[in-house]
Amino acid sequence: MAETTLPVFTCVLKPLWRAGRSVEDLATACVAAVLGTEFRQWTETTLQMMFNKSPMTYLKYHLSMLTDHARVDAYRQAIFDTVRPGDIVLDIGTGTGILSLFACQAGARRVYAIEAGRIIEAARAVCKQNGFDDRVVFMQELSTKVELPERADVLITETIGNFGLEESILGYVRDARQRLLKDDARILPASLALHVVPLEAPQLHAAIDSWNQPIAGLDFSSVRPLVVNNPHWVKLDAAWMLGQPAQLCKIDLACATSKDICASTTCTVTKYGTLHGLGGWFSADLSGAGTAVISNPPSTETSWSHAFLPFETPWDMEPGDTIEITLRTAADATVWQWRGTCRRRSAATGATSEVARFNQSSFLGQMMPVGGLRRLSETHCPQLTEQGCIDQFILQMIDGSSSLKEIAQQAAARFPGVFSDPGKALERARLVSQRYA
Amino acid sequence: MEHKWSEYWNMKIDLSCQIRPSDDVLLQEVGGEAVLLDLASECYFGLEAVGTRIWELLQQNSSLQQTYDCLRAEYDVEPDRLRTDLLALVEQMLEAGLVRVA
Repeated sequence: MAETTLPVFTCVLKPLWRAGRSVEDLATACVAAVLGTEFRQWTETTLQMMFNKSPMTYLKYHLSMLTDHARVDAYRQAIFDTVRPGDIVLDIGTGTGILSLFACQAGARRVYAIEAGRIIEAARAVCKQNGFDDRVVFMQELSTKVELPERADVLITETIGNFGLEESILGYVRDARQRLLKDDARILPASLALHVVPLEAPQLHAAIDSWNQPIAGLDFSSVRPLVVNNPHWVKLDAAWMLGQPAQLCKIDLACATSKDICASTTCTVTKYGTLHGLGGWFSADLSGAGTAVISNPPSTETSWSHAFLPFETPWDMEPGDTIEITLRTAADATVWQWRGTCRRRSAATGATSEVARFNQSSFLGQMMPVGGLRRLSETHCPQLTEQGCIDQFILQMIDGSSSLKEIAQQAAARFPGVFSDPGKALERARLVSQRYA
Repeated sequence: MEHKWSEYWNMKIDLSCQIRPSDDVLLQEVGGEAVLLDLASECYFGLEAVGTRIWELLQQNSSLQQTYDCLRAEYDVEPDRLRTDLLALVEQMLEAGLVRVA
């Protein structure tokens, strides 16, 4: 006899949403946590949140990059090697503007400095302070949304993530090549390579397993899958390597057509140990002439961290074992998948057998809001909440003839239950106006 | 050898078919339901509880008939209704590229 009476006819496949940079809206809808806390997503929303919540944290992050001499010196050299007098330069993700200023020093006639975050205000001030404000045009926007009055001769970008791609450099460069650059534009960095290595890192894995330990008698182990399925940004120690690093791929940014990668390589284990996951980093040939930024461990010289891609289960490995690794990104490198197989050759028979298999993804580490997903389906018919009605009312009042004070007064009169304090209505009107007007 | 749905546009799917979830598809269970991400199309999909169970069975079983038999044992449902709905869901998933005919 059947145990349940669940009606099978309710099983419907529902298209939800399409991934990608447009996921910004999704991130907002999903309490900005949809891609995991450790997965850096440099959307405007995230940047604004960081800046608004903790400007000192944000500035400290930028200072760490400015004082990274390996990074700054390599970029400065590459810019002087690449930019010619009179060039039009595009700087994507300008941050504090240092690369734009180097371009000016190298003779650029005009520099378009694009930055989505509010750090651009600091860049403006620094630019003026150094006397280059007549040549630099700052634009606070994602580069994929800007229009330029002219195409650029040179693209400079330091949207390089710890594992190369997670700041979506491939998408930004591809879009710039299509819309913002001249056909023969020079691109800096010229190429980007990713490297992987098998790791024995018990301390990193122990931190993941700590979620399995009860805290005050309560079970938190349901959090562990979120932690073990996300890349961790750490400083790797070369002593943790169980074998030689292997280059996973090398991407020529002048002609790469995809915003994502799917690349495979094989690493050979060279010593006995426990395999806890994979280490990953990048190397970038900035000018195409060998001026490189390399973040290989132990790199105490650069501000970049390394990737630790943990395995669900550690495995004991022996010298000669091989690890076939496939790394794949999706949705503009906002989703990562690492999968593969560990094999061992029998000394007695010479036959190779499978020791272990792994298939993990940051998608499995996303914190999906229960109940919130249906609201993202294309078949969902949304209805305005009371807060939505307030914003709608304020937006309708914004017509160029009413002041914020007048709008706030009208809003307070229309929604007296919400705005018992007129100051609150003014605050709300300011927020809506700041965003849309 | 696996085939894409587009290659079998006119093919009739029945319980003798062998259907396998695509390697490109990742699934996360959320509150008894599931969200699927197709890495190839970069689209997300949702499956309700029964659909999630069907996905699980497709991963385990080599043929649709086996999946059908399991569902018959687990749920109180008319055989014809189950067959119709199972095949309809599989066709939807084939069209979306989430599963392949093995």
